[in-house]
Amino acid sequence: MRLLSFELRYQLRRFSFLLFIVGYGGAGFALGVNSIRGTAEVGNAPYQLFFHLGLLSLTLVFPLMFMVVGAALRDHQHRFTALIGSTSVSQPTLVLSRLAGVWLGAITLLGIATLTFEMGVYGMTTDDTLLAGVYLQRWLNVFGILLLPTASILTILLFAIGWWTQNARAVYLAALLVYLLYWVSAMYLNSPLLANAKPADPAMLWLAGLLDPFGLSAFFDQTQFWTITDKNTLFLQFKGALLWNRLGWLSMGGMVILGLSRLAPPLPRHHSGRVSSKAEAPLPHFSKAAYPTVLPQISRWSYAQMVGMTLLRFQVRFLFRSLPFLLSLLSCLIIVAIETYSYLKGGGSYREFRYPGTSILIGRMADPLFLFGALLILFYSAELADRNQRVNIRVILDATPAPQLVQFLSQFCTLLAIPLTLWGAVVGLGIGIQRLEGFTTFNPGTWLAMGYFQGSRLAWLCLFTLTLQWMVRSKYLGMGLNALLLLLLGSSITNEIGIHHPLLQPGRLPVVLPTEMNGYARGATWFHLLHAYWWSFALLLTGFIPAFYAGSVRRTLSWFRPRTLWAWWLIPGLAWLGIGGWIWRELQLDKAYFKPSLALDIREDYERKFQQYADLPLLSYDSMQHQIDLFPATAGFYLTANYTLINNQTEPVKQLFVSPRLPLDSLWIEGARREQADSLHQTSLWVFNRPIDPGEHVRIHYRIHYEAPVFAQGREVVANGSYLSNRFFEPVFSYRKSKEIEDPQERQRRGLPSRDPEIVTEDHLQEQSTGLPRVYFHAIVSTESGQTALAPGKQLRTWETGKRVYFEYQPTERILPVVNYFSARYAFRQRSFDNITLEYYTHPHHEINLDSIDRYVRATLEYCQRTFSPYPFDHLRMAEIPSHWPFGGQALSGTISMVSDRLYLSDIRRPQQFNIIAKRTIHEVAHQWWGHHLAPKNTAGAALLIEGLAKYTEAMVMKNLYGEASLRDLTAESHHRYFTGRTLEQLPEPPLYLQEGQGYLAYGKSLHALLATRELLGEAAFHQVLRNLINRYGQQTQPTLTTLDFLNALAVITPANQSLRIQEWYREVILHDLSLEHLQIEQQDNTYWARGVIRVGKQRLTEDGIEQLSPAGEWLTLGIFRQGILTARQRVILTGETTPFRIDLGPTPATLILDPDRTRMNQREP
Amino acid sequence: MDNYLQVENLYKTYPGGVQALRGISLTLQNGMFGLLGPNGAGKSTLMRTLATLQPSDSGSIFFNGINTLEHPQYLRQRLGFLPQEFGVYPGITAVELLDYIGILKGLIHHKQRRNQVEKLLAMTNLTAHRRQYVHTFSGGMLRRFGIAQALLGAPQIIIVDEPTAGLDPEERNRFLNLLSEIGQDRIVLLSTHIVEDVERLCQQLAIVHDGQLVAEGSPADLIQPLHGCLWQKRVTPAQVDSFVARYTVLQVLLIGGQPNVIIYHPTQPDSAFLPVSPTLEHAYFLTRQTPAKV
Ligand SMILES: Nc1ncnc2c1ncn2[C@@H]1O[C@H](COP(=O)(O)OP(=O)(O)O)[C@@H](O)[C@H]1O
Ligand SMILES: [Mg+2]
Repeated sequence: MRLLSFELRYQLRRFSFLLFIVGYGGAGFALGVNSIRGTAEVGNAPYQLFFHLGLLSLTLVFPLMFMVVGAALRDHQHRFTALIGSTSVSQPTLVLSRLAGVWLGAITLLGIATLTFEMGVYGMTTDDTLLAGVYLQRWLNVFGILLLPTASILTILLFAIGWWTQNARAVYLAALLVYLLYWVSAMYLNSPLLANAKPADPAMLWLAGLLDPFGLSAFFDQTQFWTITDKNTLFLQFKGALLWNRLGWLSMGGMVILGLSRLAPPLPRHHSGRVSSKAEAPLPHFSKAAYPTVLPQISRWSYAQMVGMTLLRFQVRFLFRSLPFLLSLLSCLIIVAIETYSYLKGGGSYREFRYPGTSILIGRMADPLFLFGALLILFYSAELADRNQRVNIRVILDATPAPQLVQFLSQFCTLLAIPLTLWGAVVGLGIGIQRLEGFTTFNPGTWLAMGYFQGSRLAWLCLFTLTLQWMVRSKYLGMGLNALLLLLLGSSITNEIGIHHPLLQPGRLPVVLPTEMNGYARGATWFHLLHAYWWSFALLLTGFIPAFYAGSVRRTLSWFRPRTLWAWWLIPGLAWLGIGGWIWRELQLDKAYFKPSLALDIREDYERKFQQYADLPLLSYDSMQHQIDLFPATAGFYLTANYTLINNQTEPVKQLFVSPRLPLDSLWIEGARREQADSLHQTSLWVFNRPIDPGEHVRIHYRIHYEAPVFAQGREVVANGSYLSNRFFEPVFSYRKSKEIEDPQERQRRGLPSRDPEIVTEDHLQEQSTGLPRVYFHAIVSTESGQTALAPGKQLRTWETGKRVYFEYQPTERILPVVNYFSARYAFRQRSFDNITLEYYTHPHHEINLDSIDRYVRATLEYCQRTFSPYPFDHLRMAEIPSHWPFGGQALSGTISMVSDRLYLSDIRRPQQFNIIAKRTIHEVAHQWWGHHLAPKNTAGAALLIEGLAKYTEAMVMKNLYGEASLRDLTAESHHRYFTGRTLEQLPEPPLYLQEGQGYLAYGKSLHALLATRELLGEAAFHQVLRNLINRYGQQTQPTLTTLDFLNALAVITPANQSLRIQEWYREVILHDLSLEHLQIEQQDNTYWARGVIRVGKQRLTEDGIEQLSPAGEWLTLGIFRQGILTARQRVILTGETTPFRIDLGPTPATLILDPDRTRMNQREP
Repeated sequence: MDNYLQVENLYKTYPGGVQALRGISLTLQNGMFGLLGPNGAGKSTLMRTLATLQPSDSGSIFFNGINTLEHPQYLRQRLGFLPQEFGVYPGITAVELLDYIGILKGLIHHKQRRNQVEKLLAMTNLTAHRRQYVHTFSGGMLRRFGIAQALLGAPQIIIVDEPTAGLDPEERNRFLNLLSEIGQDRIVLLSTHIVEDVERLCQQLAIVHDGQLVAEGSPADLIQPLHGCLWQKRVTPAQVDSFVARYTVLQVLLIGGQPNVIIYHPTQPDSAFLPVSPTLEHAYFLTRQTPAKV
């Protein structure tokens, strides 16, 4: 016991431990503050405790490493072994007390973090109902299942390794392996902490859940489908993977403890090395002639150079031989390789494959490169600055005239070897992967640029951390200070503590990633500027190092004469101030950009001033004419716009409130005068001289001259691959509700009236349309020579003047007023199909998949024309846009944009792979019908008719092309999307016909309801309904179609006894729980029979909770599959919760699948 | 070339409050100079200060007329320094490390440097171990290595801090001979707590105690005043304490298991005391007695 308390005191008193306490306390608090994301989340519910403290437990390995080295290795390090060995303390007692000391230390850290976490939550919560009481129970839950076992397992593992090997490096290595294990598990288990992880087969999932020593994978496994309510109320259950994981690891830990108390550590080894065994020769007689002196020459430049090179050589040798560096290099490569491969080979939601485009690879590499680089630099800057002191050779070297400046520079250059090596290694890996995958485009320029854009930040870090180390001159203090500064000023914590200004966040140099089309161009200027700013700052800082050698010590430094120091400060200082001033001036362009509080102030001011205009009657668009000049090189454009608006309302319009998105150079409104203008918001109120009567037109003219501020890193107009939407520049001719502050707490704080989340009802659907009418559109767009500019509509003519090219576009019909301008150096191919011109614009290196794309475009056009209606235009244009856009593609009228790496670089060479190119192409082409030709009213439920039907078409065309299997791939994904997406829903889940842009409904559940409808009514009848809708509502100038019209059309042809189904699928939220039980195959004569029971649970979710329903009267389909192909369907009418069935399989046995089209949302298989 | 080192009024107090140097003044010229003093006397502190490794609180150091506190490079360029304790990088051989230090010292010509390195290895009897990692050297080998590196270049002042510690008697002898030969036309400052080291070879020596110089001069100068003042008597073990109380006892020797006291007394205390001819050791021991008793 005394030993134990000694151990504990030993651990607690160490300086590093104090640092860790501060760190964990701070981190706990920060996590607590952050744990409340939505309005409805309980910040300290068990789920949140698990999530955030579990996250924190990942870092436990670091303090443990320190503590274990202190406890298990300290005898060795201080050469006490013999002493301890001779005392009367028995071996097991000694080991166990040391182990317990470390363990208690770890628990202390976690305990402190838990407390500060709760404090953080309390600090942030204004509403008492958002706190979970019952501390004991919650804490028992998280400590019992997660934290205690994790701490114990890690302690035992690391301690045992430290004790047995008596080697600190082995402990570090073990820590690394522990992480690796976690990483691999997380990758398999789709952890939300790791992006792009993929779902895998259940056996692997199970294994992964077991392997993760932190138990987090199992935790995520258990909670992946929890909705907000679940997260707020449920406790974690000690079962399944979580149980087995904890039990498995703990029992292993127990065995290790047993081993620890039996097996002593080896005696300290003596340094191994080349020891010569030659007997010493007698000392030769000494005569003075034998001592030839050599005159030192230290004033020459070549001396400094030679010292520098020598130091560099020795230090680089030290670096390349040291284990942490090699291990990190290796792990970095492994992680990059895993990351890259899991992304290339099935990384997306459809497990699709991709070609290893250079910028795709760099995108995967940038983060690990920075992470490993930064950690290594942090570590080795301390190590290098302190090494002479540590090995105690300083007393010899400091007595030599080697200049300190040269030593500093050589250490800096040595540190630079870290990013250089990492960069070289990942580039080699990347090029290797490209070769292996048969991707022949080689972009040496991009790889080189990566060295600058990804490396400069690390190089800067080398200088900064080393400077600090030299100033502080204490290894651990310096390292701690560096880590603290980088965390506080260069991570997401920086924003938490209220620092947003880019001139105040040294560690947060902007990250620029390349795209295949645009290279590194986007954001490069901002990158250069901020980097120059921080580099000059770091250089300036180095000038202060001598000042840290107080008093006479400075004289022992052969740095610079104090008199010349001012020159040292002057140049970087002036550069720093100059560049800082320049950046500061740039920032004045948009003061709120880096100032969230100011941005909120502006929004509040907007709402307070202009809310009064929210209910003014509006004018709608009738025609839209743009003349736009794009300047890709400077990321800007000139626009002259002429619009006609029309009064579509029933009352006259007297005033028009204009709220610009971009500053307008000029604005003119026919027959109106500007009454008020606000310089802050650039808004204006216009009063018509004579009220505009219903049906009357008004002409409007405005001009914009725009150049993206350097810091904005705009995506719209870029060097190659511009994609500019009218939604980006067009002024809004009304009050913009979207500018209001949404966060309820923020509104309350500012005394704004609360904006209760609106529950949409059916009445909304019937309200008068204010949305988007179709307009006449005409555009003349110009760009720099060599690029092609595109816009929706038929290309009328092109011409060239000087260095610019002009294009004129005009659709033959009215189109929806959503247009985009493209400009890039495109390769162009033209085909035709059925009198429709097919135009394909791609990046020159991205034509690999063009023939496939063309095939799917044709297949879709063919299917849709045959099934629904003729294609409304005479052309279909598809153009590539850069991968900095976060979507797959967008369908404009007759023109489709597709994102580089989500379509053009997809790799569909393996036939068994899901064909993502087909899927995306069909989807966007289908939108020409669903969304354009048939545009619903812009109100709730519209997504069912736009996205739902596009998904449906996707499914039908895919089925025609690739059979039922690909349909099942699609439904598996949308089913999964529904069940995962709804876990994040903050409000009650709406029924499909009232959906409002929820992705899990639009791209998830909608498809299933439509497939169910098809199954219920039969494909022919269902498609007839769709055709009728197109005939009735297609090409409406003012769209009026709502989901009610759709449901009414279905109702007409639905048999009375099944009308309840339509009701349930579209107007309610129903969850099923389907399974097959007691399945048996029998053979009679020459036919096989399948017998079994269908068990069906059915729930209705309402505002009041969950209601159990009887499935009786519903019918379900049993699909009969042979070799993965659906050969027959058999309907079974359900009689109740269980329904026995017996069906004829035919002459050969087959696989039975219940509900093969996934027409129900089945909780059993989320 | 004649070199001289002038140290005046050097004071140094460590952060913990230990006054390691309390007004040390010294003047050194070519030749061996011994710094004798018990452990903790401040020898190493003085030597580190002279070697420009650490600052003093006050005082001045001039080497050949140049203020080395202001211009440390001047001295460093002409310095060979062997610290009392030092370490080396792991995984580096003796040749490599000497080469490395040689470059840092300013030996920029490859051939000359290589040549000197080999010669020094031979002189310190390390040629057989030239390719062995220095961190695997035994204590004696490491010290010889330290000597070799101190001799790199063309030092005009060689400061060696307890160089003989860890050497066997034969090695020690040879090494001291080597130093004294080298010391003929340069300053060699040697610290030790072993009187024998300085007795034979140092022309000049100083005795340091508690950060102060308590005696300075040639060995003969220091021995001179003791002539006729040292007496020896055979006593019983029980008597030793009373002698220590009564006389300035310099030494208690065991001869054949019986104590012999040697005392300092200007006159023969009584006839039982036999005269002893003084050695440097006696002078050294005398300085260690409290001044009141002298
Ligand atoms: N770096 C230091 N910090 C604090 N005290 C020191 C330091 N170095 C030496 N001392 C103290 O200064 C005194 C003189 O030490 P030192 O110069 O090493 O003596 P010597 O070399 O004669 O044995 C001793 O009391 C020692 O404890
Ligand atoms: Mg000493």
